[in-house]
Amino acid sequence: MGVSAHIVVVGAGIVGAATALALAERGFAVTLLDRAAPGSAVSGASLACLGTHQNSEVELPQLIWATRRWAEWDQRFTGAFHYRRCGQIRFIDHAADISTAEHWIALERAAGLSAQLLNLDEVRRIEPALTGPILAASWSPDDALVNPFLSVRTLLRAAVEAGARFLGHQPAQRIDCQGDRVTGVTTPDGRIDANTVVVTGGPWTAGLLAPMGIELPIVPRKAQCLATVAQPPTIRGVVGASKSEQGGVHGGYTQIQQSEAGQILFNTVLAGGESAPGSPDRVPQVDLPFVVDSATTLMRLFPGLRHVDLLRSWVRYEAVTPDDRFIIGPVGPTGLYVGAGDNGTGFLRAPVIAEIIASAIAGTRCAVDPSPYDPARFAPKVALQ
Amino acid sequence: MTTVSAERITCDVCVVGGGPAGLSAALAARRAGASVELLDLFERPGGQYFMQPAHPPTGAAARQVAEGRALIEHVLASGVLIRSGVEVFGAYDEPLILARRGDAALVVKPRAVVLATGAHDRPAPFPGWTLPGVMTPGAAQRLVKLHGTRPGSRVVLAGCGPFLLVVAAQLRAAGCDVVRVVETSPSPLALAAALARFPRHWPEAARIMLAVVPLLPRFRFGRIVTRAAGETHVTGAIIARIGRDGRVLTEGAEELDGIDALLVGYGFRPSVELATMLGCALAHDWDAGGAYVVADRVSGATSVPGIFAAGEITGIAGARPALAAGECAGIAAAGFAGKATPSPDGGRLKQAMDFALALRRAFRPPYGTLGRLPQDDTLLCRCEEVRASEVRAALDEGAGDAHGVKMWTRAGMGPCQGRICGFGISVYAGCAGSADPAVFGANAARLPARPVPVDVLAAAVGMATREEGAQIIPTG
Ligand SMILES: Cc1cc2nc3c(=O)[nH]c(=O)nc-3n(C[C@H](O)[C@H](O)[C@H](O)COP(=O)(O)OP(=O)(O)OC[C@H]3O[C@@H](n4cnc5c(N)ncnc54)[C@H](O)[C@@H]3O)c2cc1C
Ligand SMILES: Cc1cc2nc3c(=O)[nH]c(=O)nc-3n(C[C@H](O)[C@H](O)[C@H](O)COP(=O)(O)OP(=O)(O)OC[C@H]3O[C@@H](n4cnc5c(N)ncnc54)[C@H](O)[C@@H]3O)c2cc1C
Repeated sequence: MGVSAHIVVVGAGIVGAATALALAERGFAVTLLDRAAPGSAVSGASLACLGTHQNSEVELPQLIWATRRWAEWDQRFTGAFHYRRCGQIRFIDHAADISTAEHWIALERAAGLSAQLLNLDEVRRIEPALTGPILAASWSPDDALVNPFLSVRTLLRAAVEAGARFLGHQPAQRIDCQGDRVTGVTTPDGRIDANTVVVTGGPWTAGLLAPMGIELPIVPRKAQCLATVAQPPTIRGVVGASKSEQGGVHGGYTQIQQSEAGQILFNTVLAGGESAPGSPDRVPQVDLPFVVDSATTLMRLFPGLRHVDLLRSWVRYEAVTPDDRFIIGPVGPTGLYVGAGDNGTGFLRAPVIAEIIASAIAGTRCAVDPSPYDPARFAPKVALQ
Repeated sequence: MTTVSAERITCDVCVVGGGPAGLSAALAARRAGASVELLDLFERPGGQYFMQPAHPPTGAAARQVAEGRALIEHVLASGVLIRSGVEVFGAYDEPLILARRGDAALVVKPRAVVLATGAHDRPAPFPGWTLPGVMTPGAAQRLVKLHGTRPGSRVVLAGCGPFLLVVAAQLRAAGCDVVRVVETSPSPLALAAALARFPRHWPEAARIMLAVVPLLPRFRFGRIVTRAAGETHVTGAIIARIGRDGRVLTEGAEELDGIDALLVGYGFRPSVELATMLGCALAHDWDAGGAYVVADRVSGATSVPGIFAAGEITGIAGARPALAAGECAGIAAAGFAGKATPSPDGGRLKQAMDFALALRRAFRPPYGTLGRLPQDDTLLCRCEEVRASEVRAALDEGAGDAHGVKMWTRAGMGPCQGRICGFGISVYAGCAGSADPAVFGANAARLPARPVPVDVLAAAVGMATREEGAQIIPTG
């Protein structure tokens, strides 16, 4: 190819699409690559809840900034990705867990958010089909859902309109360097020259950088989901399990919601519920224990859905870091940046990553504090190896 | 509290599919000393070719039904347990088969599996194809064979391949007025040439030919149905010539009126869902129906140890190769399950396959032409009501492949999961998006292979993952 582009962004998931847009808007010449169809990896499997509730204490300011940016995008792209502020419920099964929920509610309210505790009557008013035997719930009315596919499509389209170029089915096989500088990316079709390369390759990121001697502590983790056939409107918002020390559903992870097309999307991973190991290069079927736990939890909370037909399941590999936070910023040779390590909640965080990387490359002030994501926090470990 | 019953069975060989391939596999495995369970979706065993109607037919059809009945009786007499009305919705390579009969869950843990799940129709979209009265030749045949119902009284039959001849004969016998038989291949010469090399098939060919002789003046070769007309039901069709470059020649197209059924289909697609879920390697060849299971030519062994495949899922070839392949795969599966077996003899299979391949070469649907038929407002995906213009827009924006198109348009996300629309979207993308339709892809199969109620799923998977013993589990 031999085309000269200033910045190549490797990976067109939600993070890469947002980053390409942020860079193109700042006037850079950007080429965005994906090894497959855009958004076809983790982003295209996402439940795409944009929620600050019971999410991360350390990152709360960044998350609040991210939810605002998503709301702005909704205005700017006039509903193109079906943003809806449906709220999020976290159900509570044990009296002992109420104080944990109250802890989160207090710190979120202190940050200006409007989370609150609900009694059963209030739960039923907000989520009438949730008739299973729960004790109470916490509620965050501002949490929202977007259509994950259309979100990637919208940001990608906007990036292209701002001058970026997108190449699908074009894997970056190698990042090229000369001395201590990045010089481009090699693809099966040839070389793309660049003085800056941003890797937003999700679970593939570490593998792409390893040959350069850069060891990122990112490992793949199996993430799974189930979907029923379309139902009439039944579930209004996002339903999850409140955090707790009790283990079981609460020590693990549950998310249940209804897509705009009517399908009920649900997954439950119990505490300690290990998923089978694997690699993102060969996507297997869902684990059987996961199927039992997810179906049992759905039927317990929403008994009315027990006879509904399951239509589909899917599996992806998320990129997990030791402290559950993204790695965002410069690594290795001059001109190389990463934005990966989504830990299963990266949809919401995509605008934050884009902002940190674009402002770092442009040398402008960053609207959010990038320090929780600094790649250097793992540097001692890298040095040891 | 409601309960879903769940049963768990073990056996040496589990055969999925009760058509020619599955029946002969079950028989061979049983004769080799294996305990065999055969699971089949239909109400009665027989599959497509040996379909057993409630009321046995007379005339030409009787012969085929009787041959099937005889085979089924052999299978039953050998001690194979045939479970009809059982839908397999999941498979894991332990091996483990997840199934249900209505609301009862069934789990099978065999030593070896023979997949013989056959094929389904391969329609291609064109303007008007969603009008009531437009259906595939396979669906129409089912109406006639199984229920004695005619798809219409004045019928146009269109598509590609010798299957059209079979259906034409059946429709005529059922009393339909077959107004046109529209065949995309340029002339009957290729068929004649293929037949000439295989004298052993002359009697069967002669029987079919004889039945359609009165229809010969109504045959149109090198032509294609480009549009179905009608307000609330199909009443007409436009039949156009296909040019040398594969383009449709609008000049001189025939506009037929006064029909009440239009039957159009372009062969069959192998039903590879369960094989895909098991991780069996697939290959792609449009002339073999699209994606098919790669299997050893003799033993039917797939890329996954203990999983064997026979019949249409290894590439569309018809009933005779299916019978022969089933026998080989049954023996090989019994061998895998630990029975001392002779090595399967692939001679009969090879003979049958040679003829099937000759027919395949004689009738190749014009994929490029099919891809050009949809207009902007033609529905490509019926489940999610996605139009050609939306698919084109997604391709223009970089959707890239079938998965990308699915995400951006929902095409293939509905109840059929791409079984019906996948072929049409691929050939359309080949023209509209200049993608190679073969590598454009399809919706990969995932659990469940067919929709299953959440409580039945939970009962089946619960039974599969629990220790031996309990037979009924409460789920609420
Ligand atoms: C079931 C499920 C539910 C989820 N629910 C939520 C939720 O409610 N809220 C939330 O915020 N998050 C959620 N997530 C997580 C969220 O979807 C992810 O964190 C996010 O999509 C990650 O985006 P990404 O761009 O980093 O990764 P990806 O989408 O995986 O993108 C990486 C891209 O890089 C490409 N790539 C990799 N290597 C190369 C290469 N060498 N050359 C070219 N391209 C390459 C890949 O093809 C891929 O498209 C969920 C995830 C799953 C699976
Ligand atoms: C609609 C149609 C009509 C046909 N008509 C003719 C014809 O008239 N003449 C001819 O020569 N050929 C016909 N064929 C071609 C036919 O496929 C072969 O001739 C022959 O029947 C193939 O044998 P088989 O055993 O591979 O598949 P089939 O005969 O198709 O048998 C497959 C069996 O598997 C079962 N099955 C599939 N999936 C599952 C599941 N998930 N769980 C449980 N059971 C399952 C099905 O119910 C079926 O009984 C037809 C094909 C189709 C699709």
